[in-house]
Amino acid sequence: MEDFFMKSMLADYGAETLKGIHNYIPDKEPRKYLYNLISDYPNRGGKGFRPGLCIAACVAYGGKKEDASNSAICLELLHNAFLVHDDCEDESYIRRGKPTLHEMNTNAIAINIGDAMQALALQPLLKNRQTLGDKVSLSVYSEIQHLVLESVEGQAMELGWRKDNVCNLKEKDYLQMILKKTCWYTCIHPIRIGAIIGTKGKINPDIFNRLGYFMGTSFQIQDDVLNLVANEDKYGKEICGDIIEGKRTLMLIHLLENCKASELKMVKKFLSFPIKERKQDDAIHILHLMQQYQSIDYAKKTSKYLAGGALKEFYTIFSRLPETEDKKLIESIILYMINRDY
Amino acid sequence: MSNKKKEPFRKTLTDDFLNAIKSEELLSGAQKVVNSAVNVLEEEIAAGILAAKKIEKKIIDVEDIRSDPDDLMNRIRRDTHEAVDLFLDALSAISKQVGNLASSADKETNSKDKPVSETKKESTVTLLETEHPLKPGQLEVFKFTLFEDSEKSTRIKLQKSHLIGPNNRIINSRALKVIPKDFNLKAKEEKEIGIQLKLPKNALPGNYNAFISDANDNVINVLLKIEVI
Repeated sequence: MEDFFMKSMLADYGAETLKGIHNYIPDKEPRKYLYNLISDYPNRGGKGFRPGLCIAACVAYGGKKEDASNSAICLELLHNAFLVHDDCEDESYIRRGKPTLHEMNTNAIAINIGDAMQALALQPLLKNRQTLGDKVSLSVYSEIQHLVLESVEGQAMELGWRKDNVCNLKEKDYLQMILKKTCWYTCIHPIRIGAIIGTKGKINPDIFNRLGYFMGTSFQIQDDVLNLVANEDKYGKEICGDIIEGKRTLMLIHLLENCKASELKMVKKFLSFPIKERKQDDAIHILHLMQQYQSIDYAKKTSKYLAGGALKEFYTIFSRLPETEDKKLIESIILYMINRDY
Repeated sequence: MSNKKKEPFRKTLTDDFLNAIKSEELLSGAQKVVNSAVNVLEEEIAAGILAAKKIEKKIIDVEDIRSDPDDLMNRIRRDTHEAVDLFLDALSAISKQVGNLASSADKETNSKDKPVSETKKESTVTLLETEHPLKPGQLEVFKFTLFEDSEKSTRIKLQKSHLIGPNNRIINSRALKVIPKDFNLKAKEEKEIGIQLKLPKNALPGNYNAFISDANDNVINVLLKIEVI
């Protein structure tokens, strides 16, 4: 029932944001290989965490949800731009249950669409000046700039590990990479931006860093676990795709740290091949090793601990605020992570 | 959905979660993960502040400043004034701190029946300070560079003192984080050291000084000087 409450609120905010995204797409040529494809990923429907967290934080802090809508649109456009580029970089086949944009077109077209989405994401930030004033708009702009830089830095770390076939990573490396690659743009900045707007710039947004970090990491680990254990139709991405892509997940790092020397050699060799040459059977074997060495259980536990840390942070920061559905929404997302049974 | 309906939800799920992590083993596991995450976050934020400061320094428009001679002279007067003030303050603080260190070194050396002169080397003191006063709860990052000019590698273990303020007010050294703290400096290697200061929310106003030094040698002496408002 409460999952339903969370999902329906996220869906509502997501639908409003999607409508906003459509408004910012120019109605002109070239349509076929650019403007018509910009809304492809957003139309496929995601979880809507980023706009949801941004709008919910704004309303929880006394703002109107309309005040956060432009920033939510920017966040969602950027998120989808990152996905388009990520799918090219990772050579992924499926996104949200359908072939990835570069698979349906070409890498070049997909990269160009991602570029256009990033440029379009700036427009709602300019629009913020009319509704929020110069000071708050500038704060939001700074938040977005930091978000983009951190995300590309995180992506660079992981792509570098894959290129150099780095196999001696520790949990700390993973936590650092995921902070940069996922947490800033998925949780920390959406909450910070929402609270800045809700309080008209009167809040110190640093108070949300831990909350967003714990939430983001917990969420990312769960997403990575789902890539290994979920039903492909329900999950919307290819199962074991992360192993094939050589993604440095917490499970892979745990396995590399704990397996026998001969197994380590095998995994290293598998990861040294170009993605297209890696075999599904080998990926399944690595998945079995992860099960054997309890790497997946370890990741599930770590994710729950971090969600617990997020819950504690949430109560510390939000308990003095009035009880609202939007405050409840943030709490529900954390509780959903804690109780997720995969 | 009313609040009345939602209340049991929160309680039940939260309680379930708390019950699930009751055992000590699980708690320590959770704490380890969360602490590790917190450390990563703090280091990253400190690194970000350092990078932003570097950019800020790079993009000061020197030509623009030079184009207004009056403004430039005012800046020079103001900076000189501040520098002299800082120098005098620093000198007295350094004398006090070095005096303390010397006396404690003296005690230690005497207890080992060794003359002071044998263990002492020529040392200099580096001053680190903020451009503006800091507010309680504020995070600030300082940096300095170490260079090993000899032909051999040196093990460095940096130690920090409490921040000592007016009327012997103390801000615990826990507020300071030295990154990296324990490392090898190879021959001819240069290394940047960051000092992250997170002022407690209840820090009282005044000028505070802390001393960073190498536990293995007395060549590295860094004086950190801040003003809390």
